[in-house]
Amino acid sequence: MASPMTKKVLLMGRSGSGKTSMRSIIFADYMARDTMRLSPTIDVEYSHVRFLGNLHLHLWDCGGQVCTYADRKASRATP
Amino acid sequence: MRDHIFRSVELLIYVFDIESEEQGSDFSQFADVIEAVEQHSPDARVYVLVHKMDLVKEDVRKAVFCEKEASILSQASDHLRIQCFRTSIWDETLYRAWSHIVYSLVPNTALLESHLNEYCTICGADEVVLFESTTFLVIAHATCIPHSDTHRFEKISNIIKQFKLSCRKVQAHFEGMLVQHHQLIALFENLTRSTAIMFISSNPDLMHTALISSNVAQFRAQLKICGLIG
Repeated sequence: MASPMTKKVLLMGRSGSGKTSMRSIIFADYMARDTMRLSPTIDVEYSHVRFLGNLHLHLWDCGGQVCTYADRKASRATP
Repeated sequence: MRDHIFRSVELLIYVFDIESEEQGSDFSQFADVIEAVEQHSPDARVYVLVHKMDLVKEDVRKAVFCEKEASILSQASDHLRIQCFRTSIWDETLYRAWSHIVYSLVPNTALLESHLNEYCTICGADEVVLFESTTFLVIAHATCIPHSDTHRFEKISNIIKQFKLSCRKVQAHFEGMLVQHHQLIALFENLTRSTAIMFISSNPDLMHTALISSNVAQFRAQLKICGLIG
């Protein structure tokens, strides 16, 4: 089980909406203009961010197509 | 897979592209995600970022965002706590949203703020602001003399971050910053391993860097005793 100070954070939205760009600027010191070089996220990219020493963020950067997993109708249609 | 993703979620950040041409399917996908989160992590908090707002003309930005926010909130259920922000990677709105998000995850904020308030009053500072030192997101602040610019914190996050990256380009290590003129002193320096502090004063008796640094050192010691932040 995750310790109380580990928090799971989901980052979701359509493909190309800018999820990885903003994550890279905030947590990985990217300059805004450098985010143009990022390629689309496939599936889920996990990153572990240590924040304020004892707070651990498990950031799940979910590629745009992962959102379709949320759709039960779609998952039933394609088993 | 669905269970695996949506189980034990503390926080969901959902990003909308304001320029998207498929608004209808954007919303239906959002509704599906919200439903999945509600089912598997009913206590999760939800932050919706309406992103790429720099592409919207400035004079209609507010109206466009409000309209989008209203449609987003109307899609959502009553059970989840949902908050919307407009963002752009080209200005400080990104820091405003992420500071809010991260703040909601930090434990002991009330205690931290009471220490900060006490410190601000004792030192006669106008304002003291606490930042996380790798992201420069604002964690807490104490304000004794109010300031008219409500966006100042995220602007400072943005400026300091840009400055740190510029330092890195010339292989210099960013340690702090001092801005001073005859009416104001602003000192930004590392506080603990994971935090930095900004001390702002317009009190002429306090415009001595050594004095402020020694005050900051006192505060650092106090936080260490309380074991508040590492």
